[in-house]
Amino acid sequence: MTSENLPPQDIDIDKPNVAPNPFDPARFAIKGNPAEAVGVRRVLVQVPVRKPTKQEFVRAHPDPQYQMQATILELHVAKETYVVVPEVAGAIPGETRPVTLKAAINRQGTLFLWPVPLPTPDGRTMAWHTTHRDAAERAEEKWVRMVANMSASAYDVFEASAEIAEPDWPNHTFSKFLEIAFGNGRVIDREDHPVLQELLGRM
Amino acid sequence: MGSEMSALPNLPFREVWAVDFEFIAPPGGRPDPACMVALELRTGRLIRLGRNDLHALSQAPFDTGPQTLFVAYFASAEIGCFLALGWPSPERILDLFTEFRAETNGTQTLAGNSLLGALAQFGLPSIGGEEKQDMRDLIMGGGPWSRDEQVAILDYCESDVRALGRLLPEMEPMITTSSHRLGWALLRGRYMAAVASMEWNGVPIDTDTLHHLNLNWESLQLGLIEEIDQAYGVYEGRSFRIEKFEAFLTKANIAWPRLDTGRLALGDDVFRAQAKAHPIIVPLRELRHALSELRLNNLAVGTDGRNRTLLSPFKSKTARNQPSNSKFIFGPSVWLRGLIKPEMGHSVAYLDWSSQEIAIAAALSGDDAMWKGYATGDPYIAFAIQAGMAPEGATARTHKDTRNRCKAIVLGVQYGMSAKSMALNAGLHEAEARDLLLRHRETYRTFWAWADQNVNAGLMGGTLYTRFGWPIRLGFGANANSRSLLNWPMQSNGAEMMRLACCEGTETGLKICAPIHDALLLEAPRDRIDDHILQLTGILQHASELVLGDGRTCGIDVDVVHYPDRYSDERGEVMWDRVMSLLPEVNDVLAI
Repeated sequence: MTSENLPPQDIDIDKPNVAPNPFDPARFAIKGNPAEAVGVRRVLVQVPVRKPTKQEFVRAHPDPQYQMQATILELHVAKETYVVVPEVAGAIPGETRPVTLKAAINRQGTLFLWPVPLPTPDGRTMAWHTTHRDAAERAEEKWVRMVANMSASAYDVFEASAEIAEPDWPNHTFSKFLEIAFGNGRVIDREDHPVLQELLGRM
Repeated sequence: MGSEMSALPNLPFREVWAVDFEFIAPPGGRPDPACMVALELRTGRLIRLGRNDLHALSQAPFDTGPQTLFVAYFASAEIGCFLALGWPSPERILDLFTEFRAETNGTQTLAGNSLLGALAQFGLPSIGGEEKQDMRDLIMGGGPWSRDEQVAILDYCESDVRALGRLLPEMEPMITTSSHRLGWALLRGRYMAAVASMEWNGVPIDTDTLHHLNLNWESLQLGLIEEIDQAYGVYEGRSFRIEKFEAFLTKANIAWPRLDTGRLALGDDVFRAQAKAHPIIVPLRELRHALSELRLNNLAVGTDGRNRTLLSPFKSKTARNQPSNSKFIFGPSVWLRGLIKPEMGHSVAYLDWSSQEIAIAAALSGDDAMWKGYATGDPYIAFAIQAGMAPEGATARTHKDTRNRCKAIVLGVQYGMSAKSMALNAGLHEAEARDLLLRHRETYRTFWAWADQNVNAGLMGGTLYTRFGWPIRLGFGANANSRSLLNWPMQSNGAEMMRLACCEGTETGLKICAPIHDALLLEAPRDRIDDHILQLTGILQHASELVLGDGRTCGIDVDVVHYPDRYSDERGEVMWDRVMSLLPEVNDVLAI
């Protein structure tokens, strides 16, 4: 039987000493939602680092505290992204790239860090990069989708014309996003980091 | 003191009477009491009364006031006997059936939900099922019974009462965990009295037409095939030919869902969904449905021309009534409802709560945007506006298509339907259904957080409760289904709203013929129907307020039918007219 079938917490737990009147049911109505006592909440367990796919509308967090400039290393085969500290980045020239990591979210509520390319140090302009940055900037205000246009060597940026509700951002700091995205050794902060050693052909 | 006597320390009543009747109940008829046994469980006082003794009394031979607890198993049967005897109903009813259902809802029981099943669950002794059946057969034979048989029937009745006496001490600790818990039990007992009252009233049926339908049913079915199948060519005699249906679909250019085996899916749910997307399918679906009604005379109609069957309260997990589909006039064949006809000088009214499930979802989740949408009177167009798919001021008339699409989504999400199912049901492209579903989540975030919380709590083995304490807890043998958990609060609180209204309505003296999902069928003399509708409308609103809380109420819709008109459900009107048009022809042929 259901001995552990406990009553909701907001009702009295005294044994009845007076018979309740079933003709006055308001006296024993449950207030609130007993299911809340079970205590289930959605936990943010994964923050992928990626650019938006060509099929999703996304928003970027408009708060500057939810973005950060960083140098990243992308292992395309393993589909892994690492943050590389500046002191170490020089060891693998050409493998890293400077980006702005922006907190972003799609309509399904999936949070990700969007690496938006920074201008190259030599000042060279690339349409891929400028249109990419343009998309990320617009995404702070509107739902946007970006699609590679190979003939123009640039991204086409589409803004949703329909009214779509504002995103529901997870209630965490940007540091927490970074911790989830780059925990488990995804920060390359020393030259003997296994990923660096592998790239340098030392293992 | 016998083994059935107990102190029952947690039941705050002066007397606790376990009561059982044996009675005769022909299909569609009212109960005719054969005997009654009552046992006061603290003192052991025993009362055994045969049929003649019962009819000699004008009230129960024990106190039925608020200081006395009346204990029964499936109390609507006992209260039906009270009604037959003209006795006032007990004021405090504890039904161990409803409480056994409450304690085990969501869990597989050892041996069902009958008294024998409950006794088995607690490891208590009982008489054998075979012996029980023999005695039931003897009683249903209707008598007259010999002296020995009368004693045997009383002994059998007493054995059930003593079984109640053994069961109650086992269940008492569960039922009295708190004053609230006992209150919920007594409220359910109160509803069982309302059930007895509604079963007593029954639904008025046009028995002449039913008789004609029954006499000619086979010929009518052939006539329907001949007439409707002209447009499809899928029948051979009475047989539906799949290969011919395939050919029809190819010709009509209709894509049809298939089973994993590759065969066409021919379930009624598929036909229903396809009929929405392809109106040409509607008559064929109705025909298939009518042909599945092989025995119209299963409809339980008493000699007084009223449809009566067990309403089977608390049978489903949501505690909704679950009467037999074939015995109850409000079964799935909606065209048959045309048989409902008020008696001369009378009227019937069908009252229901507008979009009850949406109101419950909005109020209990605390989603103000959803409630605001409901309060406009058209939650579908309200969703379209709130989700940015229609401009402010849009109406069902100006944005009919948008509203229909939104309606499919708003209703579908209550059932946890996937975008694919919604698309199939509403004739939408799956991508559009996906987008609408997403917009629903974005527009009503508070509702979704609440709904997800309920599903998670249920899946974790927590107990979900309605406003007045109907629980569900997935336990042994449960089929954990997140979709039904998502829908459970709306359905079960809706059932609770209905129960509260039935209680108040029947106790006020209104003649409620039957509860139908989220509606009640009311009957009254023609010159009083308007007053009674007004009265019942107030009761329905009050019941909705009790469940929704915070002074929120549901809107009420009313349909009235005056004699000599008959009730009709718009979904079955075409079929009804078709059957009626064939009926005289068939009669003519028979006459020749």
